[in-house]
Amino acid sequence: MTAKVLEVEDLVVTIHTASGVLTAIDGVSFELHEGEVLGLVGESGSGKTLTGRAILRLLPSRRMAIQRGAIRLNGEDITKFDETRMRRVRGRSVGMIFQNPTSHLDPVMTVGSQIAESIRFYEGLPRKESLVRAAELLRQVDIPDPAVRLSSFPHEFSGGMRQRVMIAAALACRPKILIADEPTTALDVTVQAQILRLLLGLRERRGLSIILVTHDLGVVAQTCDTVAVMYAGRLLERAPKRNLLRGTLHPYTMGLIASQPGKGKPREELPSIFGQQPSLSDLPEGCRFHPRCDYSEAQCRAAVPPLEEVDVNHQTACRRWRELAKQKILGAA
Amino acid sequence: MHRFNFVIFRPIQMIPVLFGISLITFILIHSIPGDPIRILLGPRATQEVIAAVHAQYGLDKPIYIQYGYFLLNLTKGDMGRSIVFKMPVLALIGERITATLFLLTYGLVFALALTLPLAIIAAIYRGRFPDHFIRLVSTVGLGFPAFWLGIMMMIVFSVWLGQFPVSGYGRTFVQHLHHLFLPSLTIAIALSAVLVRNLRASLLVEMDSDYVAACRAKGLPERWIFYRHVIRNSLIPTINLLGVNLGWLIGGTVVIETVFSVPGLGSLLVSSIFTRDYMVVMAITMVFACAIVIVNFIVDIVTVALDPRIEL
Amino acid sequence: MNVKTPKIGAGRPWRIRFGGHPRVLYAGLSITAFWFVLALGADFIAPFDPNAQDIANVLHPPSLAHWLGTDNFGRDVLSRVIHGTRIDLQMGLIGVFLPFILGTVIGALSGYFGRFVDVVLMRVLDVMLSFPWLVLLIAIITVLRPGLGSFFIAITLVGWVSYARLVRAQTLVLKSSEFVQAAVNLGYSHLRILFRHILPNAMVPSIVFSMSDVVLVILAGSAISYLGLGVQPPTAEWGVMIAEGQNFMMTAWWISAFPGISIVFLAFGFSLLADGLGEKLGVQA
Repeated sequence: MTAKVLEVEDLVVTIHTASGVLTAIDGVSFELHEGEVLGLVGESGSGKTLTGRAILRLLPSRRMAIQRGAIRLNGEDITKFDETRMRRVRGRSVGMIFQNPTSHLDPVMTVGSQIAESIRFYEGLPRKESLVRAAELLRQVDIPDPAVRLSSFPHEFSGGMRQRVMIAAALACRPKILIADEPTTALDVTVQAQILRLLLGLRERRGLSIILVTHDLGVVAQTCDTVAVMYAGRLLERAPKRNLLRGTLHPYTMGLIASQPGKGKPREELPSIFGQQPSLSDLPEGCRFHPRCDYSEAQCRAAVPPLEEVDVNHQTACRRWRELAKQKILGAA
Repeated sequence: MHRFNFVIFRPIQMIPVLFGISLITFILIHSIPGDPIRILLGPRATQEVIAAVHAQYGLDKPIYIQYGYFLLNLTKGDMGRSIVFKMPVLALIGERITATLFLLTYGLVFALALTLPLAIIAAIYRGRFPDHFIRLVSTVGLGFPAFWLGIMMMIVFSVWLGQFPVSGYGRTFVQHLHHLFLPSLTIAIALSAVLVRNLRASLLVEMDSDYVAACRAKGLPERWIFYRHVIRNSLIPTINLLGVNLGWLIGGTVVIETVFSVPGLGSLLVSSIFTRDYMVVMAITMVFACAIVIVNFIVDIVTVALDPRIEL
Repeated sequence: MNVKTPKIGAGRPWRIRFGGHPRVLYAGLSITAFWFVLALGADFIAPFDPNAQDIANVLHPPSLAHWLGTDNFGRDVLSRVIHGTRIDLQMGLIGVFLPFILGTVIGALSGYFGRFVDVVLMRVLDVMLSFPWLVLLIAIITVLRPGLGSFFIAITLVGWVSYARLVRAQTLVLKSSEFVQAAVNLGYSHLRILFRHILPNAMVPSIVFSMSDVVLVILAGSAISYLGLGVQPPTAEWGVMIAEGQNFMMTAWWISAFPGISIVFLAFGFSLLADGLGEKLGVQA
């Protein structure tokens, strides 16, 4: 077992709206080990992106706040940090890349300057030397002719290249953790695979730990070590990838896996989970998945199911997992 | 540097526009009531002399030939003679243009000095008191008649406080600065109202953009992000607006020069109307139009330099 | 003015519904309503005859008898300001209405029928936009001889450009939209499609722009009158009053001050109206 680098415990994020306070993330806990790739999976609106942003304390709106919980980085709770200390965490301990590399790069600044600017700011290096470092970073993310490309502008790159630039910029100050928010969603399938391979390569070379936020179980299957499944702001299941994909212990995860397109499954026959994810202003009592669950019973509606430890690394928030596994509905075949 | 190729080609495209400007000016000159030669020669000229001068200027020829003469004269730098100043119009314009350029530049510097801090403060304090206040003031400022504002400033700063002269231009550079302080401040206030509203709006858009979030994730402080990324992106639309508003700005200087008796092109234009020195009026109109064409060209160059995405 | 492409929804967005609480719009409406009342009721509201001279009461500062003071002929500044509302409001409204009509017709025809007409129009727009419009306005008025009528002719000849550009752009967008294609398929005539289907929608940005244009036209009109090229003294018009007051600014600041404040306040009303209307219709002008 390698060392824990990040631990999120009972994280609660709220949104203040005109009609009251909504809870967007409700008691999420997980941990990240050195060199691990953790997949944070869920539908849009499940709170997975928000969780990623909450770790950097960069919530997208001023109306949102971390209400409760701890985010421990190498043992230190960063929710207690002031803004100045928090800034040193961003980029230097934890880097982040985003879904849409086009809009997340400044259109009027050369990519070299954008990669170099945090080096210049934090290490006080003069422009020239920081650009040498930027070129080296571009080389590490497999961009040909790095020294020449330094003076290009983002619009002169393809989507995949822009994502590489964003990765280079995020890693400029050598963070140990990278949060990748849907890094391949906006890209072509072939480019997707290249970027994922690049991320895995960087993990090897730099000992990086990665939180990969995605809705795509295919991406998870290719890259992750561990998976955490989120639904309507709660964590439903957490397990090593193999256990989760081969023997999930939650009906929601089962539905997700079944609805993935794959070999031998014609698109029109894909099963889907009926209904929709509830809105934050109208969350069901008890288990949040129960209105859409084929196996829900009175108890599921009445009380919130705890995240139960099944195995050393496997947790599920379904109170009926034992029965359902016995009936061969859930669990390893 | 192929993006800057238009610097060579654009002047060629500008030719039809300049042509159109000359045509409109020609039509205006021709629509002036009365016979320009009669006015030029004065009331005592005999019929024969008038006819002779008509022939000399080609005024007895068909209208399109006259337009040809007009264009030919323009290429020789001949815009006619001023009957009041008894000199070529072009030379007269040359004498007066420095004051106007000085006033415009001075006003523009003032306008930027007002606009940048106000828009930035409003954007930073979005939705709070400073923002509301600046928005209110700039909306009210949209309706400020420049000539009235100039007179009010004269009353306050010159008459009551005795700080600045009410008219004139001075001789030295420092005197220019002193004399043109109130006129250029007046222009700047009127212009800033438009610019502040625009810059604030684009600052707000840019502050919410994704690359700002990415910069925050890189650990850069807000100040750094604002001054190195947000401002530069926001200035692009505002500089374009400045180009669009240039015509309006020149209109403003015409009035302001009259209010403060600045010996520039604008006051010359207005006084020439009353002295019926029509060639001067039309020549100045044409010079202003050409100036706008050229400045818009410069604005395009600046925009391309600021925004690497734009290809012209 | 930079005008962004407005959002065009289905239905008929030009029909303005006054629902919700658009505070800016209401504030603008209240201020303009105030001036309309003042203009219409000037004869009853103004305490004095605006042209009545009173040689015994020359250059009096604001007092209980003359709230805004008197001018160099002893005329009551308040009464002159109130009567001036008529002229300046009229300048703003007619000075926008005429270019609006001309520009809309030209822009719509050019955008709809396109081709040669459109190419010519675009060139004309390029040339017209190169002139500083106040200077061109002055040049045209010079040719026509100073006066209010000349001002209206000149502002029409100069001001149509903005409307033509806006309407042309909108017409181009709408021409290829689905509901217009549907009308074409139904076999409606060109004129019917243009005037019943396209124009009502294409005019939305122009209507918003016309509100802020009222401000520009009032400023231009009063400036022209200030220069002595528009409304002629002794008519009570704000620009004229400011010009007359300038000769006495050493001693009687109030003659110039109050007409100017009136322009600012009237313009403020229309600016708010433009902002509020733009917000409501989703158009930025």
